Amino acid sequence: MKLASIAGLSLFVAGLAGPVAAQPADMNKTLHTYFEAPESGFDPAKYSDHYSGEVNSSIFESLLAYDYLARPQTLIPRLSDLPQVLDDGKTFIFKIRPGIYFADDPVFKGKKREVVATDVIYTIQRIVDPNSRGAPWDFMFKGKVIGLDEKIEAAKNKPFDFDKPIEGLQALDKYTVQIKLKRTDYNLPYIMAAPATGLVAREAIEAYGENSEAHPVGTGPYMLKSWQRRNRIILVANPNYRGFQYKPVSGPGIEVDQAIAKQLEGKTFPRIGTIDIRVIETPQASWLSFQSAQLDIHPRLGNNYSKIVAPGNELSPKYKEMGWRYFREAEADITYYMFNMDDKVVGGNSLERIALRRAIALSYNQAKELSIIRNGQGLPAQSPLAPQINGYDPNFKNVLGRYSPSRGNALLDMFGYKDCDGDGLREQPGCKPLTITYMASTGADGRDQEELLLKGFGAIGIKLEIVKMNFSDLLKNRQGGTYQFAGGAWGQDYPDAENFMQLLYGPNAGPVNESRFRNKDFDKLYEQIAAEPQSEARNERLRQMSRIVAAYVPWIYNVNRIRTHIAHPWVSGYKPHPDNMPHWYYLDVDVEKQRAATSK
Amino acid sequence: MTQQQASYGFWRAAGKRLWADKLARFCMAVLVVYFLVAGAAGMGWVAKDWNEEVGVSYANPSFLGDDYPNPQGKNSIISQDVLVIDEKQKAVDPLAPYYEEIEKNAAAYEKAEVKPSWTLLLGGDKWGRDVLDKVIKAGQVSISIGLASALLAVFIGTVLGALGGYFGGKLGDLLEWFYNIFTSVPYILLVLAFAAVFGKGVSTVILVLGFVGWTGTYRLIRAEYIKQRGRDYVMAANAIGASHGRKMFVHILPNVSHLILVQLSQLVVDFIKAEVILSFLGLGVPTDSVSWGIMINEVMPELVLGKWWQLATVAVVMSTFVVSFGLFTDLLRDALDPKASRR
Repeated sequence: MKLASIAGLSLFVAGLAGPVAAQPADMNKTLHTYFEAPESGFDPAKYSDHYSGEVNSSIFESLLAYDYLARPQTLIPRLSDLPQVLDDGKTFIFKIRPGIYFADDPVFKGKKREVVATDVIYTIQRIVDPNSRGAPWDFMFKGKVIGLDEKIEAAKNKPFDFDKPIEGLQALDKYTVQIKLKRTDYNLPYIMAAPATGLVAREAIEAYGENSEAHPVGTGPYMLKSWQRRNRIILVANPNYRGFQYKPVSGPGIEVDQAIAKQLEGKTFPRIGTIDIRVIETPQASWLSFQSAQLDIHPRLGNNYSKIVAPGNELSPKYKEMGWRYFREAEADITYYMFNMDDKVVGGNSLERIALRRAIALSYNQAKELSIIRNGQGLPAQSPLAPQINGYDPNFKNVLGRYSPSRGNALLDMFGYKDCDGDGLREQPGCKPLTITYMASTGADGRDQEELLLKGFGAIGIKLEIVKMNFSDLLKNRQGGTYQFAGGAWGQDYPDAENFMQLLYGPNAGPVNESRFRNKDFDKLYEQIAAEPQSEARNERLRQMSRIVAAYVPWIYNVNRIRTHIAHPWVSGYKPHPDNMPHWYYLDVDVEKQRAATSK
Repeated sequence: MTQQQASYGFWRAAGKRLWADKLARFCMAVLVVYFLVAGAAGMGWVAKDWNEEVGVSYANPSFLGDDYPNPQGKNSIISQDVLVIDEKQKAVDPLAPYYEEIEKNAAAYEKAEVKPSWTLLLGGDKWGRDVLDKVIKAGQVSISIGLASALLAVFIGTVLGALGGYFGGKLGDLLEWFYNIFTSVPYILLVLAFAAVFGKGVSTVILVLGFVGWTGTYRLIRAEYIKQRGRDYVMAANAIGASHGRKMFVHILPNVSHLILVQLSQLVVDFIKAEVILSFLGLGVPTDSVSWGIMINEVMPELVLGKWWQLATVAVVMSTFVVSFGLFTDLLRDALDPKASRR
């Protein structure tokens, strides 16, 4: 820890002494923000939690990026140009831009370290290396890149062999890298924009070893200055950073927030010297901190606070007067309940089991979940997909989705779920006892959801038992298939429907397809959509997949969450991005106004 | 002339002293009301339908009236749009042949819409449940948890304390060690550990609190037994050949029972408060039940919306009970121990 801050300080001094051309950030400017849950560590290959990702996205850079203001999400060049796509989406060639350097670090022994093609190859291999804490991101490349799976297999009991060349990953010259896939996958460019694929330098990773998460060395606009675990993270501008000007992309169907674009025009980024992040887990505490100007921006307000700030989708006059700005957007995520399709009671594809699951779906009151539990901060989910991603159709409705316990009761009657012992609760056909066990985690306060579930199950006369456990045990049960009924949530890794539909693809049954849903028609459609570019025909295939899911009910859809974010008037350039990353390097603060507000 | 009023027995004298105190009488009256209501709720005579959504979401308390703004109220009335099932969906639905039959059979289950009320006597919670019914039901759960777990804790403490104090020696040492280890673990951690092992449910809350809370009683009773075992009446019992068990529980126990009673009433209050903390931490009573702790836990987000009535109700009801019980315990102690009169 100490070593890190001394190293950071010496770099800082070196930066001031060096040429000023590259570093536009004003070291007097500080942005105060917060995380609602603690981070884990700053090594993109090792950690997949969201908040570590937010920091990683500012320290490391992927080959590509998303345009800041363009909606829908549009890829733009970053470290490399947009790839050349060959062989119908099986071969991708990325050309890295020369003259991009890693942040200075003692491991480079005082020399500037340029980004080259082999860094990409090393980074990708590290993501699938089981020694990267179990490789939580390996699904992005596993089973896709030619020759990579054999390497993973060989690394089971010994160190990963990074040096052995494979056909799938080749450096064609110093700056050109070629990725060859087993099958067509048009999502690869998106994957190369995910924060997890941020480029790392092999020297740094090997030098810091187990401690790499505390010594992130990347090419991005910020560097880690100090880190008090689970409490406070301070980032400072990277003096080696090249700086950039923002110009929104244009194209058919692309919309850009012009007001924000004006604010960004002509400036060289990053502007802010220091990012000061605190971990504040209580919504009330972060809300109060924002009110007293201790936070400059407040992403993700709690449901009740967002109601206060902007009832009826308009900022309340009190806050308008104070100059606050607010942003309300549907997040690219979905929450759902899932059945274990391998379970002896709720699983399977016989008519009576389908009827049981359908009856339970009919007993779930989606409207009340939205209005009463979530205070309207969400959209009723209609398919396994989420807003803001390719293939999501806002007009598609789940026509089977409905709250109607009477129809649920009718269905259960028709398929033999009768009350045999007169206790007011139904038994399975043949009078075998029927209890459905819902697994939930103790951590999150899910009592509201549980009350709603209990009410619904009560209305169709089925006994529901709720078992609580800590989140990691819950995850183990879900991934291992030792559950009956549980809740889940998924957010985008890349903005394509495939990233969501893979959760129900038969061959993925297991840790990815936790509900173990296997349906031949669905799987066939999935294989098609995974290997084709966007088109209306593909969208229709996606709708058809949603219809299959609605009919067989491996999932009961809950909501696509809507989030509310607020910012103080002295912060400019702020706009939440559907990729959920913070993009601090586009922000600017007016120091005078900020100081005036805090001293009040 | 025979002396009619030679002397009162110990219990009768204590009872007289207690009854002479106005505050004690008042507290007893309050407690009797609470126990009666809790008993009635337990029998299902009152607050049986506490879980029914009789009002709209956050229904106003009656004295605020229908007109008091309640933007959340309409949430209880909205429902999902009913959509036409199209051909494409029918084609993939294995249940499609049954649609007509479902509609026909469902008609039998359709219930007449009950119109939720916009006001309730003490207001409604987020689901529109009556706060008055809820606080009564919660009181029944909380009070029975307090009583049952206090009985369990006092039972364990008394038996172990009696054994340790009466026999002393190796057995006494062993119990002391056990006690020391037990109390070296911070209380709340111990509660959490037990709760994690036993899982969730009212009975486990009782077990947890009972198993964790016996230590104070144990120390007290042990010390008392050490004091009593050398007394003349025990010697006398010894001389006529009374067994150990008889001496412990027939001769000595009545002489320390006033301490047990005081312990019992103190622990009831402690455990009601402990249940509040457990429920607050999500380890208390299960989802289909309610307790004062659950209600307090629920009010945090409500206050942000300006809905104060659930908090007000549960705060008044619970603190009245806790204060009355606490005062009563104090007075009981005074009455049972005339030498230590504080007046």
